[in-house]
Amino acid sequence: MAETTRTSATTIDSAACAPEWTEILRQMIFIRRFEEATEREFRRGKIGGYLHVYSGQEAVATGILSAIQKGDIVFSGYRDHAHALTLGADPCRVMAELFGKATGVSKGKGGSMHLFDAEHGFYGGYGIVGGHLTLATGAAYALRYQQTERIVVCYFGDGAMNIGSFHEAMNIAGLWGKQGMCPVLFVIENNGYAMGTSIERHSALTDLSARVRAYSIQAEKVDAQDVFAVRGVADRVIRQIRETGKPYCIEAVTYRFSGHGAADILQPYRTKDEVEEHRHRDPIMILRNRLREICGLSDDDVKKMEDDAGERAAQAVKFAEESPVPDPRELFTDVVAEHGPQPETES
Amino acid sequence: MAEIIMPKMGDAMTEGKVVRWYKKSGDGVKKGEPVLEIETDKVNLDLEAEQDGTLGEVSAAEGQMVPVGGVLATILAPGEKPKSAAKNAAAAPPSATAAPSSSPQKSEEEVQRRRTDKKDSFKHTTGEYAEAIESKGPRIDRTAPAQQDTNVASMPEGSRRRSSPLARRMARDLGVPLESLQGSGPQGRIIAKDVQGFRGAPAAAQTSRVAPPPLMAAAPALEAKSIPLTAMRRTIAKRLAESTGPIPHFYLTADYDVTNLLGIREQVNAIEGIKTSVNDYIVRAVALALRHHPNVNASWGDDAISQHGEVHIGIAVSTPEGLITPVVRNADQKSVREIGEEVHALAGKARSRKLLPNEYQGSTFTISNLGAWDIEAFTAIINPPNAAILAIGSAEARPVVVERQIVVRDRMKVTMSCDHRVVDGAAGAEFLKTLRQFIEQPLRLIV
Amino acid sequence: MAEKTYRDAIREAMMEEMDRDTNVLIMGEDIGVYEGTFRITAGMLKKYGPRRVIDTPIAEAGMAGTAVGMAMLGLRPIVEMMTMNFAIVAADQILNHAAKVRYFSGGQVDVPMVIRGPQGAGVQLSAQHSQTFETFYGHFPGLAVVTPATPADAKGMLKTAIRGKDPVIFLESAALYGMKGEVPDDLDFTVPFGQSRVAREGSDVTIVSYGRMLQVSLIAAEKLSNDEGIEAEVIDLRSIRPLDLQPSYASVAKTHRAVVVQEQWKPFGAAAEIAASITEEMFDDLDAPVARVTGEDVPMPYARNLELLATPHEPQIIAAVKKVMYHD
Repeated sequence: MAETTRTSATTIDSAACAPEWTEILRQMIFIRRFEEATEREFRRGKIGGYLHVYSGQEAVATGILSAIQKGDIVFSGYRDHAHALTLGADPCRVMAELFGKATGVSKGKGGSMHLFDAEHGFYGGYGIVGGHLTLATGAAYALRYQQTERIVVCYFGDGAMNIGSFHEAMNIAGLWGKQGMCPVLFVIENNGYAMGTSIERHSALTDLSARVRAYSIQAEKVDAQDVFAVRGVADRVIRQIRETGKPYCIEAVTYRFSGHGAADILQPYRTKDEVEEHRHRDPIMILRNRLREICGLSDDDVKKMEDDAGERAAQAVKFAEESPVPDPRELFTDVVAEHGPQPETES
Repeated sequence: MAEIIMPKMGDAMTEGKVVRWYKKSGDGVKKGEPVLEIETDKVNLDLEAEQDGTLGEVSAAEGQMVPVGGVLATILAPGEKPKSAAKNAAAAPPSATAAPSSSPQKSEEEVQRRRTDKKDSFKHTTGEYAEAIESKGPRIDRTAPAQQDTNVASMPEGSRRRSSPLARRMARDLGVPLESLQGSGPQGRIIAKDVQGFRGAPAAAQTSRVAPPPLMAAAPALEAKSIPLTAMRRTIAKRLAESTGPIPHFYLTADYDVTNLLGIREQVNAIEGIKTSVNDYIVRAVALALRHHPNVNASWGDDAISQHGEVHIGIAVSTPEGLITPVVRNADQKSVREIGEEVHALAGKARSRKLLPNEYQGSTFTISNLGAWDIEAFTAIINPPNAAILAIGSAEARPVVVERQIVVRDRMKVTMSCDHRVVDGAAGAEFLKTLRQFIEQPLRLIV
Repeated sequence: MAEKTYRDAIREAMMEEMDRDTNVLIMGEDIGVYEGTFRITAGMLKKYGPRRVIDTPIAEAGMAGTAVGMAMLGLRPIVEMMTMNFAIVAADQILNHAAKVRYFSGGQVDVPMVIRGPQGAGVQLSAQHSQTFETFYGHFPGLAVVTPATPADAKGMLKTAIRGKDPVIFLESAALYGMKGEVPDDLDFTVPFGQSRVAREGSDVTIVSYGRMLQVSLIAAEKLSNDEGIEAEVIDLRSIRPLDLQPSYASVAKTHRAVVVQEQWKPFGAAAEIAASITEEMFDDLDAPVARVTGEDVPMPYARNLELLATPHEPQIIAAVKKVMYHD
């Protein structure tokens, strides 16, 4: 077994100035603006339920999902807005889902934790910590069984690694990988906290990649505030998964700037100073500065991206606000395909 | 200009309290600087300015409860003039709860009130569908007396016998009084066998009811079908459900002698060109009786009971689409003949759906008459905002005892449903007593 | 039509469907090399190979969860639980994932999977291995829950389950595995869910049951006929969700009394649901309260005499029938 490695892009090759990086920056800025809008709308009472925003972790979604191909399948936990958006889900319909509207990606039946957009390869946000890891493992088996080259990406947090389904999924993925039947990339979004419990307090062994390797799955750590580093690892690893049908795990070391959820106001588990310190390693800032220094990205370009992102987020809010609520008859649809409940004739 | 709103800080938070303002209107503020302190059910925290500028109009006082999304103040950008009047905190988004009180002193009381007003806030937060659910009415109306089982209802108090549902149904169908039976089941429960034994009609009873539909017919036996609601059917459903829901109904039944009334009517109808119905006399009788009982000619309001200055009688008319109640205005001031003509015209319009709103709104009391359908007696649902409705059964010849002699008289049962919040039992009974005088001495209606 | 055991009927259903559709596969503990604890899967690994007959670790959550993922991607996995008692470990995967993902995705995926295995009392298996689960799963929308009582139904309903679009909890009774019965040979013979049937006609009392208790009820009905002259109509519900009570209602309209029989604990059980529904729908037809015959409200004891006391048998059913007939 290899030692834990921590990949970080120290040099930038010429490809760094490819237009794709500008797109990634644009997407990261948009995710930030979108999440800020969701927090605002939550405060205004327009968004119900739980709301877990992604601010600070943008490089994890964009660095990996920009490296996959059409047809690949993505599973996520409940902090799932960025994954859906990066895969191409319509921001208006994502926001409408948060507003509980008929035009939402899940018809207003899922909400923030259960975004779903099969057309774009997003097979769901899931709300029970660790539960979806087994689903992703089975999905990967199915893709190989059907003799496709497609792979699965499965996001989860450091907090998911202490629940039984994590261990069952890892063991089965390790077993199936030996037969080349489990092309799945597990991505640990290690933001240091299981809700409000820090990694030192929730994991007996804090080297998370080492824990994955215990199941005979290759794993490596990456500085996930640096999207160059994330993407670099992703390109290599995804190629390998596609070729071998074996699972792989990236431990993306990141930090969330917002509370665990919108109701996490006081954040007694960390200090303001700690958050401020991490803001110096804002993934958007890191990419922006690099493109500015090396590729000549101008302040005007950045300003335009910022404005454009704000505008798109505002449009999404407007769309969500103006969309109709689900028809009451929708209460009874999609429970099962067959033998389902019948809506009452009077509704 | 930026607005500072009452933010939702928790998943279930619907309102928050302004604890204190650090800044007053006109003060300069910097982005990130605390402007005020708020309190939610979980935490106290400072709200910070989201931009540099000047604090504009402050629209929530210290101590005030403000619904989530309600505007607390505005921040004017440098050089920006205040707009005429910032949206007040009271103008909260529709998802918020009731408007805040206008002064801090009231706020405690306000919170208290809203805490007890859960149902209301549920309705506010969930909107139309909650109304749709509510309009189905309470599942069990514990305030209403048993109406369905006439057998049980007609038995004297305390004599309720244990009996199986089937036995009750058979007894009802066969006209066997349950109290005349001996129960052979556990604890004397009257069971089907006991009813059969009494009648000596075994199989007939078992099969007396129409056989259940052929439930086991080959699939697809069930067809899900949706009959679209007409606006009228919707309104009927909503109004009736509203009525049985919040209104505590009780019922009073009286049996009137209408022999004289029928006689008078016969004489009147013998006059050429005049045709009156029994109902026309009843409408007038009720109108006149109401003059003596303003407490029945009344409506419940949240703050007061309104006694009406005029008597307007609603008449339930059945139409193909459903029920509607055209109104005979000032019925106490009209003759039987005038009432008859008016009712006739209104009913015609109702059936062709040509009634104007002022022709079916504004009743102060309603009459529902199923006499033409040979209904002996029934209870009707109050037509809000009326405090009572009178259900009229058919007039029929019955043997009665008059001065210890059995004679045949025409009798008619009426049942008044009363809103107990407005009309107490004794008050209702007094009214029916007055009505009896007008019905049984019908000359009072003429002279 | 040939006579087959319940066990063979289940195996045949799976093999015929695996022949018919390569998307069908099966996984479970010791189903391949070991050929199954109850030998349901005997010969299958040899015929279909390890990709379609997957031996899993002892990891029920892993099995159920991976099956959900497979189903969402178009496969039709069958998960064999060695006994349904072990499936409790997979409750999150079954109840929170399989049963919900169609709904919270707004109908974007089908979840065609079957979780099957034996349940109920055996012989001295004691507290952790003797439970029944139709009541438990029957509570959750998003699932189908079936309880076949005959070899023909076992085969026909399993085929319906495999061919469907929803997660199905297929509850077998270990005590019935050796039972023989006529099973149609037609490769497309299926039994739809949500259609209960009259297993025995009668005019005096209605007995409603399912699964193994259906067989016990039928024996009780024969005794009642021979010894008491009471003709019981016995209804086989076949599936618990969807639940078809129309034949039960029709029967009660005729007999005016009903006894519901279930193997396990009385509180909040399937029998309670059925009794309540009959009372709601057929109140004016009832000449006696609906009676329930259930297991005793205790964990299953080990000692054979206590175990027999804990589960319902013919005498309890006969006693309940006499009670609602006012013959006691």
